[in-house]
Amino acid sequence: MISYIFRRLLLTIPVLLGITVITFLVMHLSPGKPTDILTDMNQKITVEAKQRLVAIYGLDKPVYVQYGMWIKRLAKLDFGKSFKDDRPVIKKIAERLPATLLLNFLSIIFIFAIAIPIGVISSVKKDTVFDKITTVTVFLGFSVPTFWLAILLMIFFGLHLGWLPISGFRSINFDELTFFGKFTDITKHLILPVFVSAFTGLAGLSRYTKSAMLEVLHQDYIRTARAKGLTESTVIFKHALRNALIPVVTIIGLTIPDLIGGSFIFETIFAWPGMGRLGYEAIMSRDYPVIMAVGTIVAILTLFGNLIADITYAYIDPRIRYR
Amino acid sequence: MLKLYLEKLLKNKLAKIGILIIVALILTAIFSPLISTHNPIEGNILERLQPPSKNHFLGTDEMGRDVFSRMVYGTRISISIGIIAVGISVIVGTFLGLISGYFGGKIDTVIMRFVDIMLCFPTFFLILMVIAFLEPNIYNVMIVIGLTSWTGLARLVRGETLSVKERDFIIAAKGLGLKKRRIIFVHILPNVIAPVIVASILGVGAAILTESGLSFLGLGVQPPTPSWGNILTSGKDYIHIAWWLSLFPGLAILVTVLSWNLLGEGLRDVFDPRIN
Repeated sequence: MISYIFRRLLLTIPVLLGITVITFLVMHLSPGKPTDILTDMNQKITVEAKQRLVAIYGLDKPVYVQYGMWIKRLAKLDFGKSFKDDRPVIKKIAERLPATLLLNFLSIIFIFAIAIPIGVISSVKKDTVFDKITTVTVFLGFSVPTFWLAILLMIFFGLHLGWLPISGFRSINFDELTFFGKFTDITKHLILPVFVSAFTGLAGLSRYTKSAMLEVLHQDYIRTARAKGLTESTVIFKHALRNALIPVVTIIGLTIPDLIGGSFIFETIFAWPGMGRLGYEAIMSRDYPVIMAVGTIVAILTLFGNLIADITYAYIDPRIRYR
Repeated sequence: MLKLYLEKLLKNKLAKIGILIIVALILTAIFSPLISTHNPIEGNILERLQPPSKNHFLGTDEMGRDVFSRMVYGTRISISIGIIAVGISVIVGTFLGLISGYFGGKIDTVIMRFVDIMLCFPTFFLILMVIAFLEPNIYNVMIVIGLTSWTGLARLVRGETLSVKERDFIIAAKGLGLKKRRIIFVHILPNVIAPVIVASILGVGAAILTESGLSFLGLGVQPPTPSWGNILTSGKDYIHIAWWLSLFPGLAILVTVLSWNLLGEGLRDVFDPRIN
């Protein structure tokens, strides 16, 4: 097991480097200089001052030198300063990361808690009314534009019924609330974003569980289990589901980039103070240091999500380790 | 064989509904000028923000333009972006997957590591990043969506190629001294095409959804050219007084994406012997 973990860790090194190269290149292939935003607004700026600024950021050096400089700073977790408010990028991200992690963590829990039972029941009761209704529901979630659903829910539950707050992370009077009050306040703010995120993300996992279950249910050992006279529920839950769930672990890793990608749209809509909104705002205002930091951190989070999923997979299915 | 697949597919009610809607949408896109009732670009400012009526089936927008006609023309944008973006990603993904799987070794390592790297970035973030720096127009949107969504497909095709290339008929083809190009494209490709078809049909839905999201954020198709996403953007601003501006384009996106997904899923069931 330890040698597997070691080999798997070695594999992440080239990918990690690749992530930084891609982020760096995308930024540098884009037209215009990052310092344009600092100089364009100021008409009185002299050519010399412009060049000085370019030199400060090292933009007059060859691309590979710039990349080296960036990587060196990256290793020290120094992402530079935001063009917008001159604050260290790493601080801005540290403020935003918890909100995104909370939202995505809750979404993953709900997705697993709902999608796996749906997948199991649909496979066991294939072609029944339940199977058909859940199939259509799951597909609706998969097909609905997130931002549209979010707006409709905000209008209905937020403005029309007035039950839930429509945006943000907490209310204005948050600091005056008791501990319990704070808890309910954040929960209320979480309901709509988590619902939208989980509902639109159900399809992948439930369809995956269903087809994995259908495959397992045709295996010889299931027939054997039935022939032994075991009850149907023992066969389904103990023999079939356990085996069907093994590959599902890897799905966690694949879900992370999708969830975070979704964050860029609905964090913007719900005014959720997370990384997605930070990234979107940075892109819109061409705040290069922030864009590069968000890109790198999101990709590294995904990489480690995959790593954990793979190691868990190898832990519960020993066959993987010896491949 | 093809007839058998088609019969099976048409037995699936949901897939059949999907096909019917897709055909209707394609016809709408082709015959937009005949179907629309008003000019989609020029409106009558005196008739702004009118609710649905006999003259304007789905009401008018903030410039007094007919929402129904704008949506009819918007079909062209959605369908063409969906199909062309997926076309690009299918060509790139299938080609790299075939090469990676067939040759193995260093080529395989390089391509697959690149795929691993790309899969770490949320596609929507990559698209957002690139589009924000290019001029947001329909062609850039198509190309960028296409070039960022081939990775999953490349992995899939590589996996299929790995198992097909060990089969007897490929070994026989090699023994006969056929050219590699011929073995890959004439003998392997047809045997890996089924999952490619499923993935590309599902991909059209995903691409339409991405385009609408981009247009909604103001980074997709630019007004006055009508797209479902940018009608929704103005819908958001007037949601308190003009519900029709938000409801109808959103429904159109939902129904369109749903149809492609139902068709894709129907095809998956047809091709997948496990489920039958």
